[in-house]
Amino acid sequence: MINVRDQITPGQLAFLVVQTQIGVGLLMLPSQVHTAAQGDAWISVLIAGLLVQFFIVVLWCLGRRFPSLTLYDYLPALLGRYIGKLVHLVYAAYFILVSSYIIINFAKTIRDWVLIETPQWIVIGMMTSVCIYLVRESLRTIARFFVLVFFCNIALIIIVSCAYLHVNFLYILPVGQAGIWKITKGVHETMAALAGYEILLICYPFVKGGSVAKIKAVVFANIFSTLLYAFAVFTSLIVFSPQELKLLPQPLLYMVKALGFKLFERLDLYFLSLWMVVATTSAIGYFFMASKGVANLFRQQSNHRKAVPYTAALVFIIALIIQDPLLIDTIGKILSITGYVFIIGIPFVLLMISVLFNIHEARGRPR
Amino acid sequence: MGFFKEMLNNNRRKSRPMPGKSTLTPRPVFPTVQENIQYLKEALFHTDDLVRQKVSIPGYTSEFLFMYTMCDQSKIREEIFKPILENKDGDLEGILISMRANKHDDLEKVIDLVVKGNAVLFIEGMEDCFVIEVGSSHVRNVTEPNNEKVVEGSHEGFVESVSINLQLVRKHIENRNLVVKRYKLGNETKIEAVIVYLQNLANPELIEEVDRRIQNIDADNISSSEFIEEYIEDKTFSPFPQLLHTERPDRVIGNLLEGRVALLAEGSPTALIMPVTFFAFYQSPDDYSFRSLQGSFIRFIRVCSFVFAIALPAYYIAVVSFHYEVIPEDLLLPIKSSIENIPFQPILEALFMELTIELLREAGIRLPGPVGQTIGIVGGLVIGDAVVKAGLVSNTMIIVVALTAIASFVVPSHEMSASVRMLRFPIMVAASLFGFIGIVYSLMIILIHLCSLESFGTPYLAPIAPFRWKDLKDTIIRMPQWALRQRSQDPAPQKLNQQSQPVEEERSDD
Amino acid sequence: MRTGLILFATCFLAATLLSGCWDQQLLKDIRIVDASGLDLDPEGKLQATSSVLEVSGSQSGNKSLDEIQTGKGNTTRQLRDILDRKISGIYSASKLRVTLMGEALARQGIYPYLDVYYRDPSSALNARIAVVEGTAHDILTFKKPGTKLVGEYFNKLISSAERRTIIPAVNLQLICPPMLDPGDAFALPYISKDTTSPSIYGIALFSGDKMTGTLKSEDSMLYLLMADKLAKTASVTLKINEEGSQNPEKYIAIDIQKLKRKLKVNVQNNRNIKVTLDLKLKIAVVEYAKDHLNDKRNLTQLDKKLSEELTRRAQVITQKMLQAKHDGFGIGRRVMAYYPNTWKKLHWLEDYPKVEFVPKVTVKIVKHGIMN
Repeated sequence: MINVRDQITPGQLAFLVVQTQIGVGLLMLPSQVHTAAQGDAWISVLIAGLLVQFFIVVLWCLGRRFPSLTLYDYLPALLGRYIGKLVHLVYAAYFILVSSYIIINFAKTIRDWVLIETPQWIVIGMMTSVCIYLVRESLRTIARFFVLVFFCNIALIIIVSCAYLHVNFLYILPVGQAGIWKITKGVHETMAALAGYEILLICYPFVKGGSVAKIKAVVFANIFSTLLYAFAVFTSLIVFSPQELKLLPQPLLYMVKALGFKLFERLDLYFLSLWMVVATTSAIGYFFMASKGVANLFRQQSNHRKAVPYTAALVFIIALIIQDPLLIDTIGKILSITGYVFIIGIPFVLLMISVLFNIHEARGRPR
Repeated sequence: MGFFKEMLNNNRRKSRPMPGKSTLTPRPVFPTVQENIQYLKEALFHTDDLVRQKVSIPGYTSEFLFMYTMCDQSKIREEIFKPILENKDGDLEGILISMRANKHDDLEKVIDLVVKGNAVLFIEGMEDCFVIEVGSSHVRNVTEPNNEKVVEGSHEGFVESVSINLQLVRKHIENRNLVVKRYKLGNETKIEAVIVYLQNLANPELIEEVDRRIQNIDADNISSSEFIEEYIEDKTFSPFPQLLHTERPDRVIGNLLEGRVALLAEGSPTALIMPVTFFAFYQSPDDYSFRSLQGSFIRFIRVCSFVFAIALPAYYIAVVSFHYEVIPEDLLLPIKSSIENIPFQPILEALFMELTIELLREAGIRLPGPVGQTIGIVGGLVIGDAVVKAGLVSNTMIIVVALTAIASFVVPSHEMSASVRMLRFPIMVAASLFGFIGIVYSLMIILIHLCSLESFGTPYLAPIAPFRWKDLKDTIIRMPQWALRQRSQDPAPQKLNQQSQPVEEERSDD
Repeated sequence: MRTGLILFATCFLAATLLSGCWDQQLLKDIRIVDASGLDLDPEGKLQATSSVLEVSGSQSGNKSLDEIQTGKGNTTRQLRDILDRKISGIYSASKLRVTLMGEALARQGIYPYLDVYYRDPSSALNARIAVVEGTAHDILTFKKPGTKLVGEYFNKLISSAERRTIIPAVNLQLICPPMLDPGDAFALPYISKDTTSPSIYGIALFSGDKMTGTLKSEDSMLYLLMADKLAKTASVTLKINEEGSQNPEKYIAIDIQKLKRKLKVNVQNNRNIKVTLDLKLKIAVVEYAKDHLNDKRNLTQLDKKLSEELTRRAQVITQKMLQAKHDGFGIGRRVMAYYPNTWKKLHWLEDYPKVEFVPKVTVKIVKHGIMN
């Protein structure tokens, strides 16, 4: 039922999740969380990571009941034909919107930092074309590419570590200054950046091996992403004074901009280049989920490849239309709230239905 | 638009029934010599190099026929006349045995054999004819291939004859598992091609796939192994070569022992090795004849040279036309002063210089040795210097282009070197349009392509993607021979272990 | 579908290639500004002075010159436009090495004038920054010795002083966090005009973004030691003896080898802030005409004398800091971190001068060269 060429190993699943999680959020997150949680932003990130682990367990429990089916395949079985189709459609739309949102934010950052005059549609088009080019391939190829570009994350960490030459740890003291409510708000901000583990809903059946190996992979992936985010936030907190941090939308870039060594100056340009790869993989992850959804909308268990051009066209057009910065912010807010519904709300309901009515996959077919 | 589809799907075509290869109905031998000879002459359209000659075997009227262009006169004397003279009174049976003649009863087959350089003997009243091998063979000596020289190690190279090449291979693998499979390729040329593999190592699925693809070739003109490549590779329109060309027996043997398949064909000293990975093109037999530290160092530099060759000019273009901020303070003035009066944009400068180097290279190949060197000097030194003095190209650009050229010639494989040299042009263009963003974009496209590429079912970028930690030991670096305990997984060999665990020996120095 | 994709890709490529390169900025077209000065003239207008590199296009041997351009306007960005009109080529401040601020401007507050440096994505955030006595224009146009470029000259002038722990190693980015932080402050190099050449006078103390005082070079070194910012070397000559047949015998020159600082902030009764600064120095004697440093008694005595002298000086420095409302040791930050409740009640600008500093310097001679 699952094409052999689409099968991936649990290790590859881990990278798939990491690369989908880490994306544009990496640059924006520190200032966003700082606005909400101030000096305790790093605590927020860690708590959010912990919370995500619970969400992952829920998604995994759901996936385990349908070991050879994707979310789209068992939606009708759990919700009935019409509601199932509707939810399916909404999911596909959500993923398309998220990919567009990632691409918009990417293009915006590129415009702010390097290609100031270049028209937006070019950058958006470049990003979309990379997505098309990779998502057209099998899931296995996507996973291979994600594993390959993982080194970009490491390189980013190394560049950011250079900022530790001038830090002031006093900025994060006293711990807990913001209070629980603000930390909670920070957690909310982080949840949106950590999103991406929902790829488990779609990829679960494609992963070889037992269910324990799968959850292990995703948990490790999430630990890595959380730590990377926490590291980014923590570094921003101790490099910039709280007052300055409020003024900077992309503190990480700003931080490396001032760094320079004998041979390399203006590290932000290198940083941005590496980050571009990381952001693209994140968009590709959502793009894959979206095209899988679109493909399955018309025919059960069809290959995602066929839907790629249509998905791409949609993503491209949405990204072109949404240009107003305030609108982008609004969409970001909407996405971060609806994210809860799609990532944990609906899957939880599905799990409840599945448990209560004892619906699970039997001999490769949903009852 | 089916054309594009056809083009891009070239080799993914499904196995279809064997194309109707011209199978002629057998033609039995005529009873009289005259009739037979007449038939053969007709069949070969009275070609003038067909010669008939009478021989006197006591008691029989007999005549034989051969193509003098394909035959060796001394062999004819040795194989045909000598046995007859020596067996003046002997019977026919004895003569034929000492002639080492093969009996044939189908004239159509005999025609093919005559074309290949055999003599055919017709005897009046017999229902069979006799084919005697008298073909002349002009084979070059086994010398070191000019395009794959090594410092240390074997200096043997393949020649244009399959049988000698196979002998070179067999000589080093004295193993009953070495299997040779023969094909006749080319509907008109009918050359002999063989695939060689080790039965106990090579993956049966791989053999089947190779076999299927070769069987599927339906073309009139196949005259050497390079012709076969494009018929059997996975993606013809990929810039990267998917079969390794080599003229070195030791390289073939090394690959056979890893469970790969080699294809040899009459008419070319080049063996094609499949499946290969990207890193196979960066390995040279030299790495193994040096000790592991030195070998690793050289190989590491070689792999780095790929990055250099592909991205250095693009990086320079991006820096001087977009991101001059990244130039360190102390370098800024020298670079700026060197490009201050150049009338062209950096991309044009670079294209001009890169193309000049390509031209020089191409010109150098065609010309005979000493002249080629002169061209190199004239081109490299004179043009380089004059172009800078004339203010057309900046000094720094010359340095960049020269470094790039050197880096691209480091690759031990010519096809890969050509791919690299070709690939840097799109990257340069992208860099001139979008700076670093353009470079990263094009590199991403190339990486994605590499990730999706497969050579006979083996991921091209193995063992980096998919990541196989154990296989890295012989990829970017070369671990010592005793540490290469397992074969690399990419050709999916049947047996992974290639040595037992090294025994920890108690070493005493006294 | 594949055809569609190919068509799309072709169109996209064609459109991209044909429409050209929007952000291209050729290195050969730009004019690099390597040093710039900002002044406030008496009428309150901003005056900018830039040294623009004049790169000769010859391929061999680059003899580069620079020209000084001046303009008057309201904001830094506006002045860039004004100067751009005066020079051939595109004005580019992204390889700026040094920014000099006139004292008048520094006393008014520097942040509004630096905003464009912080906002522009291509600006050089690692440019050094310094305050000059008088106007930056005078110093930049000062006939400099030799043929060094202005930017390079000031860059080297400042960096050598940084090495010797006379001035703090700062750049545009490094001063930004303390400038915006109410509980922290920064100091900038202070360059004065000698009769023959510009020289490093010491440091300018800032409170917020306004300059409020200066420290001479001997004091600035001790200030940096107290701030735990020992660079490569730090040496100072101190007068320790009143008697002595010759003048040099009254002095000792020392080199600071190792530094240990303990800074403790104590809040008593929720209001009174007491700062104890314990500085332990390990030094090498590099010049001492009276010799006999192998004698233990002599050494202890010297240690004691030096400690007393340095402690006295440290007290003077802290007094000056309090007067200038310059919170260079980040006392406010510490109060914020360890006594958040107290901090909320404080109005730091007014409460800072009330802080009680108790500096204590302990010196130990560990080396005395190759002679006793």
